[in-house]
Amino acid sequence: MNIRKERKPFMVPLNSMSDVAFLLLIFIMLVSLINYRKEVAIDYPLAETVKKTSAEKNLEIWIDRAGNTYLDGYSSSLEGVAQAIEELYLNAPDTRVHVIADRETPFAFVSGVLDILKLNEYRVVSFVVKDA
Amino acid sequence: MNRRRRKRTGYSESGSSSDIAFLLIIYFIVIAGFNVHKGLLMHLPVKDSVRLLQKEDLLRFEMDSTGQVFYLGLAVPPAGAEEIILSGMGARSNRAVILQVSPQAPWQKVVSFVETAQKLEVEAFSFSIMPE
Repeated sequence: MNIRKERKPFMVPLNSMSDVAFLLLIFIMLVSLINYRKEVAIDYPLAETVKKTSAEKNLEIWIDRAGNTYLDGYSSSLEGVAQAIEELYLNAPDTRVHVIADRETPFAFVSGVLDILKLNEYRVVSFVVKDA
Repeated sequence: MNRRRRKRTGYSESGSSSDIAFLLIIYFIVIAGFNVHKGLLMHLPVKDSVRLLQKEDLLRFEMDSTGQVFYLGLAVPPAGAEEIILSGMGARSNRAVILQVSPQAPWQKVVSFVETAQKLEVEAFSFSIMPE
């Protein structure tokens, strides 16, 4: 007697799809934590003709209204900025420097930072603005 | 006899959770895009570098502490400065635009002038702090 087992039709269990999606979600959340960026409370200057200036490696120099400087969101003196720029020039010269100053910051404070960049022959700098 | 059938939970009931997860993923991807910098790229000169120019090729502007731009001692509105640069560039090809900025001038005004110079594709543009 020839007994054949009835074959069940193949079915992809959709239940596991949500597990995969949630794993992806956790992965992206962790990645976004790694890319966590500390911001300083400033009013961005406005401009109409802006372009994307982010590079692969970026360094942010923030200058608030009172002239306080921050390196990647952390408070730093001008000497600290100079030291960081020097190290950057030696170790990763392709890093893009972004100057992010408050729209009301007196020019003297920005000029101080620009002088440091010029001294270290850091030629290409981005002045970060917001789309007007 | 009251027989109750156990309700079977099928695959279809958890199917929507994957949609929610994917929507969350899209949300995080969009949020990650917000960290991209936009701004004006500047090529800074080397500190104390010298460039020889003829006096007639210079378009020298000054900016006072309020951000008002002056040309040849006269106050000019932003559109006026644009016109002066445009007419100057048309007359001579080797024109250089120089902006001397008061230490107290707000950063927004400097950025606006830099934007104007970039918009008009001024190759030789420099700005420096006004000696007090």
